[in-house]
Amino acid sequence: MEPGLISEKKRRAAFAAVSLLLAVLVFLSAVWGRYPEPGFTGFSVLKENALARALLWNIRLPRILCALMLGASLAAAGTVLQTVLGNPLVEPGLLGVSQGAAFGAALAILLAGEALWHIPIFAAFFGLMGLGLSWMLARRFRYGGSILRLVLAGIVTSAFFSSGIGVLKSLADPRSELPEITFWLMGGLSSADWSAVARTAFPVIFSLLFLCIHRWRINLLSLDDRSAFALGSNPGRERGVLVVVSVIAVAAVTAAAGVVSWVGLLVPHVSRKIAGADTSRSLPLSMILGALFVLLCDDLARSLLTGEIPLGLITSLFGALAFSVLMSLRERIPRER
Amino acid sequence: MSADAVPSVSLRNVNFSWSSSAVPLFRGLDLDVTAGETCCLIGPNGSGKTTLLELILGWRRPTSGAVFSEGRPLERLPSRERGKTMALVPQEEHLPFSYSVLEYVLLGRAPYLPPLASPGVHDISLAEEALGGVGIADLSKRAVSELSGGERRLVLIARALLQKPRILLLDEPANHLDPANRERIIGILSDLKASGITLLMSSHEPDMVTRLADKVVLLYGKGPLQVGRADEMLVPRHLADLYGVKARIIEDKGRRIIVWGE
Repeated sequence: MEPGLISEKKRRAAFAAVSLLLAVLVFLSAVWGRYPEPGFTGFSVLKENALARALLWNIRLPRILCALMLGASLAAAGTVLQTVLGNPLVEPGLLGVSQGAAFGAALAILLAGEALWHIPIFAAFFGLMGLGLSWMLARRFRYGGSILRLVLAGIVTSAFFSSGIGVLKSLADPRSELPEITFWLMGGLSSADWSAVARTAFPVIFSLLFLCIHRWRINLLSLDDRSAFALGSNPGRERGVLVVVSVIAVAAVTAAAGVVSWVGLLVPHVSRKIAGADTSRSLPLSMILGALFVLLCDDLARSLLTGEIPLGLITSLFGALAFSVLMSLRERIPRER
Repeated sequence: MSADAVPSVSLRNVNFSWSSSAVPLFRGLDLDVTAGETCCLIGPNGSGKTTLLELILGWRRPTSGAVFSEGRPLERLPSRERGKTMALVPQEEHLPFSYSVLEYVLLGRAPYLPPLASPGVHDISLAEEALGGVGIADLSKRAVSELSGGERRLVLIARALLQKPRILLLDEPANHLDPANRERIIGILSDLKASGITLLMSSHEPDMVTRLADKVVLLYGKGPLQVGRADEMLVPRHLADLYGVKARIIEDKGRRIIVWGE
């Protein structure tokens, strides 16, 4: 075997192992928690304790489903955006989506106070608006190629929304609204219930299925536009569709969980390391790994301390650590553009 | 060939400029390349060789005039159909990710696969055949980013051939290659020529042009083209006009060799 490239057999084994690991983790997460006692809940306890059963069904299960959707969506969007924008450093947050959604949520908290149902709608709306603004600016910019323009426009849009968030924070009531905004900006699944699952599931399933069935063709768009065109594609249109579909999934999960960073950057890199660059393999693996990573982080977020630790803090901590280890590993670096 | 055969590529009164205020790069361009012909574009740097290939591919639209592929106006050719008719071998291609040679070459099957499909066993065997066809079957599991310049060029040719095009466009196919790799590419191209595929290539290698071309297009830049049979075009007078350097032609064992300078 050539150095650096993984054989088909090892790839399949890795895929099976990761899927199995996810199934086991889902089961363990369902019986893991702080009630009735910290640690694993036994079957006998579940049989006797109706409250423990209700807790498992009404709190842990929807929370697990939300964590799976959150991880799979962020990782899938990261893989797709990195591939179609030909830039391994892109993550959903880079296109103004996360900051836009965060601004929307902060605005909702300020305008509507405790009425929680406003937050997801505002977050999704402003998340998509963030993308729209990046897109519009990129069309007007007269510097660099189309991809560089989009990334630059994303940075500008993100900065614009972050300053907006700063303004909202300074206007917020420091006793009630500010802590809520802050917690939302750090991300978390403490409010995940069946209605959050229902709201999030449709856009997430639609987007992930769409990306999954296009998973091979996504490769074409990692080439420069002229080459993709010569291979019989319409790079501008296809790239646009894939970016919008990815962002729909990100906006939906961000609306439910707040800003959870590093997943969309780290997981695609790990996935490519295992499955290779071909998105027909690395995209599905990325979804599974993303779900696994976020579920594990959320288990820690809800059980390490008596209070809840914001999920975004844990994903950032482990994400940044894992990323720096990953980048220090010896690797064949593709040529720079 | 019958007299009414439709040309593989034709340009009719094509004008092209980079912006409305710029001096046009091409003015009133007419060109016909018949099926099976090998046509070489030669001219100094910046004379528009790559741009002309891009116009023929449809990647750039002429400011006015029309480009036809097998008699059909390019803009009316569906993307997928275009990908089966024409393929491009660029000089270089940026690769942000580390694809294996096989994965990379398989992208050449894109025009034949429905939008939702992934390549199957049949596609893989076709890709391996294409790699074998250019003599690099042994590289299929290597990472493209690890290959030498010459090997990368061969991989790009294999990918273009997997498109089974009737028209193959090549942008300076032998540029920056050592003599062994250049001979290898010339060998592959003469096999393709013998198989009846239409070849259009830009080149800075007059030796390659004299060995392969049926038709030669001289691009002076910002002016008209001159089109003619290879032996009529590659004469000292035209070459001196084109590059502004004196040229002599020496015949050796049936090969025409160009000697530049005094």
